[in-house]
Amino acid sequence: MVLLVTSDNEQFNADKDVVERSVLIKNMLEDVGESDQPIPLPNVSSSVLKKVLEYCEHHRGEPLPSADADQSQDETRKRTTDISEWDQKFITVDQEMLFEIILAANYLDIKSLLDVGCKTVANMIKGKTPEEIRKLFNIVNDFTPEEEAQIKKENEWAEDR
Amino acid sequence: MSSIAHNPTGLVDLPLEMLVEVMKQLEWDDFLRMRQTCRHMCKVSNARPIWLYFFEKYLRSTIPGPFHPDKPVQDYSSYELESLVLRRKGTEVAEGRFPRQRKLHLGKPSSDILSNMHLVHGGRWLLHAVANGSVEYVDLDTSEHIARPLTPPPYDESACVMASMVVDMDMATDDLPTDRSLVFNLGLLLWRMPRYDAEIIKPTSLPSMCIQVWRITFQNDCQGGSLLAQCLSAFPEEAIANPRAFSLFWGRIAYSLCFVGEHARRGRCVVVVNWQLANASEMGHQRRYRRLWGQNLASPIRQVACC
Repeated sequence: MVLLVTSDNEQFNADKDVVERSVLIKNMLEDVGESDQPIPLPNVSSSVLKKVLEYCEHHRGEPLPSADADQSQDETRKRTTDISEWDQKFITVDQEMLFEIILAANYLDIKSLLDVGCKTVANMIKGKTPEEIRKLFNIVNDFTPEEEAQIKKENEWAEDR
Repeated sequence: MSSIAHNPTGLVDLPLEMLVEVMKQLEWDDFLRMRQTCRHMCKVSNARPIWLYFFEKYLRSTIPGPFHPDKPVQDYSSYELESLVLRRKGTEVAEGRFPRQRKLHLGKPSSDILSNMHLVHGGRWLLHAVANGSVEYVDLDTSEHIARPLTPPPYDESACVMASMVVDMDMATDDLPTDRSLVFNLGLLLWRMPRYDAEIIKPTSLPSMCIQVWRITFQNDCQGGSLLAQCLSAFPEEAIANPRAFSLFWGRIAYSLCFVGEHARRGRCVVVVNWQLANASEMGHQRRYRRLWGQNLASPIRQVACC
C-alpha cells in the first residue's frame, strides 16, 4: 500500500499497482525504494485525487504506454476521438472538475487520462461556432473588430463546410 | 472578467501544453473556429507541435497523395508548416466542392483555338492560352464560365501565336501574401508562327519567340475572387527554331529548341535562363544565358557557354 497526501492534507491509501499508473509516482517510488513515507501531492486536491484514483483503479493492470518513443509518429496512428464507455461515464463531470483532472493527469503524468480529458474538451467544442465556444468556456473575445474580420478571412477559405 | 473569477479553473487557465493537446484533438473545422475565439487561443494555435501533428495527419496521408517536403520536416518553421497545412486543406475543400465532370462553354469563336491550358493547384482556376498568345482564365467555382483576360497578347492582336504554359507554385519569394492566399508564377513561351503568302508559298514574316514570367495573385473581391497578373520578366529568344519542352522553377526557366532547315546550328539545344537577369534584354544578350548545345538527337547535351 502507498500513502498519498493531497494539497488539503487528506490521506489516501492505495495499492502500488494502482498508483503506479502515474509515471510521476512510479518514478518516486523507484527512487525512494520500499518506504512507509507518505507521498505529498501538493498540486492535487482530495476531490480530484479521489477521481484520479477511481480511474487508476479501473485501469489497473493495463499496459502503460511506452515511454515517449518517437511520439509524434506514434500518436498520429493511435489517436482516435472515441472514448470508452466507462471513461465517458467517468469523465461526465462539471467543467471545473474536468480541467482539474486534466491538470492532475498532466502533473501525475498519466498519459491515458490526459488524453481522455483533452478528447472530452475537444468533443465539447465539436460543431460549435466561435461565439458558442466562447459562451461555453467563458472566453472573453478580446479581438478588435478588424482583427476578428482578418482572422475570419484567413480561415474562411480553408474551412470545410 | 468576473465570470472567470467565478470559475477558478477555466479552459483559458490551462497551461499552454495542455491547450496544445486539446487543439490537436480537434477536427479541422473545430480547430479553425477555436482559434477565432480570442487572442490567447489564437496564439496557442500557432504552436509548433500542433502544426507538426497536422502536417503528419494531413500532408502525409496517401489520399489525395502525400506531400513531398523539400527539406526535413524539423527544418520547417512552425509558420511554414502552418502555411503548408492551410494550403493543402484549402485545396481539399476546393476539390470537395467540385462536381465530377463539367463541360465548359467558353463562348469563343471556333477559330480561337486553345493552344494550351493549365489547371491550377486547387482545381478552381483554369488557365488557357488563346490563339493570339494572350492568356485567359476561368473560375470553375462559378456556374457560368466566363473567360476573363489575364495576360495581353505578346504581338499584335491578329498574330497566330502558339503558347507553352508552365506554373511554379513554389516560387522562392519573401513577399508572400499574409493571408496565404493563392500566388504562383506563370511562365509563357510564346511563338509567333510565320505568315505565309498563299501565292508563292514562302513565309513573309519570320517566326519569333518570346518568354514571359508573370506573378499571378488571388484578389478577394465582391465577385468571389479573381486573378491578377503582374509581369516580372519578358525577353525575346533570338533563335529561329521550334520550341519544344518548357519548364520553370524559382529563378530559372528552361526550354529546348529544335533548329530546322539551313540553320548553322541544326539540331537541338536546351537553354536555361535566369529570367530575372534576362528581363527586358534585347536580342543577342547571350551572356545572360546558359546554353547547352546538342548536335543531334542522339548526342549528349553539353555546355558551351555560360555567364
